[in-house]
Amino acid sequence: MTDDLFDRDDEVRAWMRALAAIPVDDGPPPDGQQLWLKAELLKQWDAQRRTVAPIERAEPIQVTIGLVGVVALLATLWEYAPGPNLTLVFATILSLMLIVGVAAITLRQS
Amino acid sequence: MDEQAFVSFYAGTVRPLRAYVARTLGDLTQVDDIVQESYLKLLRMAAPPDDPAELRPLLFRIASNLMTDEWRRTRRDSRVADAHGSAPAERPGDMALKLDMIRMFQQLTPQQRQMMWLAYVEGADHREIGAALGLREGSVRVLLHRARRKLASLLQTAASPGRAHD
Repeated sequence: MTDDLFDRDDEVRAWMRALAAIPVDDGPPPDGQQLWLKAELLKQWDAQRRTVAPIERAEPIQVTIGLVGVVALLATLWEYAPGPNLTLVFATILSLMLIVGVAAITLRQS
Repeated sequence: MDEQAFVSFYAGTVRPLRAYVARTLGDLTQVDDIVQESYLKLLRMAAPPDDPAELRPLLFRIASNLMTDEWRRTRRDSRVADAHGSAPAERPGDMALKLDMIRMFQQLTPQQRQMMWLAYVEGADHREIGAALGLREGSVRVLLHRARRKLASLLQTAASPGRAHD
């Protein structure tokens, strides 16, 4: 049986050739120049992403440092405040809300 | 590679590559995407080979990897029925025969189809097939032999339906 199958190698070869001759496509292939342009655009995009990647990675760190600084400044100013009054409380709450908002936006984007 | 060189390379390889992908993948809806992605990956490589003779095997290797990814992703059987719309209008007898051939080829495993195509249509040797499919040369020798034996058995069965082999 195995020998018989070995003998059929020519038949397999001819059959594969016939299979390869069956047309696949019903239309012309896409234009090579368009593909080239697309690849060039993608390469530019890749290069841009590589350039921007360190900046994007550092962005949350920058925002965190900024927020910590703002909170520290707020705490320091609060110590020097003459006494609690409505304007000061309102400004503090507003500042804290802004800090939380910025932190939430940054975390969502990263 | 400059634009002119690519266009020339593309013109010489797109049809063989489409045939390879279509016949081994079985699902014609994915063929053009995989073919296009293969060229784009080749062009976006950081250091593509300068030698044009190395580009064609590399292109087929990229396409083979993409097909493997597709099989892993979908885990579905190839659908030969999709091939109906691909061939130009011709006599019903010829069409049926060709569809039978495509169906028979789909009875091989995806890897066997890739090997058989690369070996018999592309004329690749064991080393080149191994490079394209990520296999060792010795493994290719054994696996290709099995694939050939299975196809021969299918051909024999088709020729004499009463006898089952393999």
